[in-house]
Amino acid sequence: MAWKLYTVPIISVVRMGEAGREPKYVPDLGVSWAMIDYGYQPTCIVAADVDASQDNTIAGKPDAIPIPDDLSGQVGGNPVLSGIKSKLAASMTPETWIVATTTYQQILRMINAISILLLRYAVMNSDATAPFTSLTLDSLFSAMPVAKRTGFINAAQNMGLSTTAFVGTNTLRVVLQSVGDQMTNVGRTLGGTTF
Amino acid sequence: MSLPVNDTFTRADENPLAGNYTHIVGGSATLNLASNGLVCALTADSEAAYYWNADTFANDQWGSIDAIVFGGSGGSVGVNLRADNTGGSVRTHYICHGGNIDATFLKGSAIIRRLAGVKTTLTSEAVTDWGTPPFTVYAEINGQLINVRQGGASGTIVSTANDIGGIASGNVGPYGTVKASGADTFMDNFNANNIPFVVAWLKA
Repeated sequence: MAWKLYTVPIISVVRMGEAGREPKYVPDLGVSWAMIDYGYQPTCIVAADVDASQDNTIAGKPDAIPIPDDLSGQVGGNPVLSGIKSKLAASMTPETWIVATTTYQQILRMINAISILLLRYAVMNSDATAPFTSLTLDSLFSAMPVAKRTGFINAAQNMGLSTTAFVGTNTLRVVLQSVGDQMTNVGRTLGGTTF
Repeated sequence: MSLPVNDTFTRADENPLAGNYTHIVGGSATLNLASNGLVCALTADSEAAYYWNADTFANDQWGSIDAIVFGGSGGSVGVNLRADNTGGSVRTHYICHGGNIDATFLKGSAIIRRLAGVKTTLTSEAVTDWGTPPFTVYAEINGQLINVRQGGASGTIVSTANDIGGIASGNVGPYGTVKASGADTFMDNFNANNIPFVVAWLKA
């Protein structure tokens, strides 16, 4: 058994008579796991204590991104590069900045930074709903309701971040990436792995 | 009242638990005080969650409770941290419990964030063997770092979550679940306090 990192969707599962959010695929394996959710957008980074067979099971899922043990390793060329970018974009993580020489640590830190903002927004506004329903990374920030935009700006300022990119004419890709770009040195430990 | 909380529940029965405890409403079931302990006796698979209301806790806080009987496979015992009823019917708290829901009897632990009633499991481990009750489930939150310990404040950390950006404040209280098909879950000796500044600083 070894701890491995993945990005996977979050799904709603009924346990003890109540629906709750948890990573897709992993809990059903009966292993130990821990996750960082992407606020209330349904995706996460999950660490799981799995054997080789279980690792292959998760890694082989079309909506999962397996993270290599060597986080300093580069993504490399296609098809891995294009696959990662498309999966990240589908989960509302900015992806156009990723190139073949980008490391997995850089990607995890981008996801982590935005995760913190999205959770801070959710807590400050007591809003446990997905923030980007019906939106894409190409949507303008102005496409979000005013109250939600204000909430995001307040959350970012609460974190001490610059919000100069949080303007209506910018896409969500630009707004969210600005958060990650300001937190490239902010790491985190999950399942014993620090990124 | 003044912290710390050291409640042995040695007093007249309350059905449901009342007084210095607030029921975390909006779906959670109730606990009864009976036979000088806390009883989670539910007719359907569910959880029961409360917080201590007689004091205001600092943001860095801990709580512990003794599990006397687990409510069959699916039962769990633990504490709520940073619990709040803001919004009336909206539950917001961290759940830290021993015994893993829907997993092996008396094994595992979990840390769950409930925000505005929505439950998100942050950590679920399936290794810890809690042994034969009674035993103590202890949980602490320092900054955004949450630990569940087996046995008490100096016990082994069995689950950890670092929920950066998460719930900022609230109170501590008891938590239990029971399977409808299992025995009642029985708890005793709820203790809670703030984490002293120096300790919090050293652990940070």
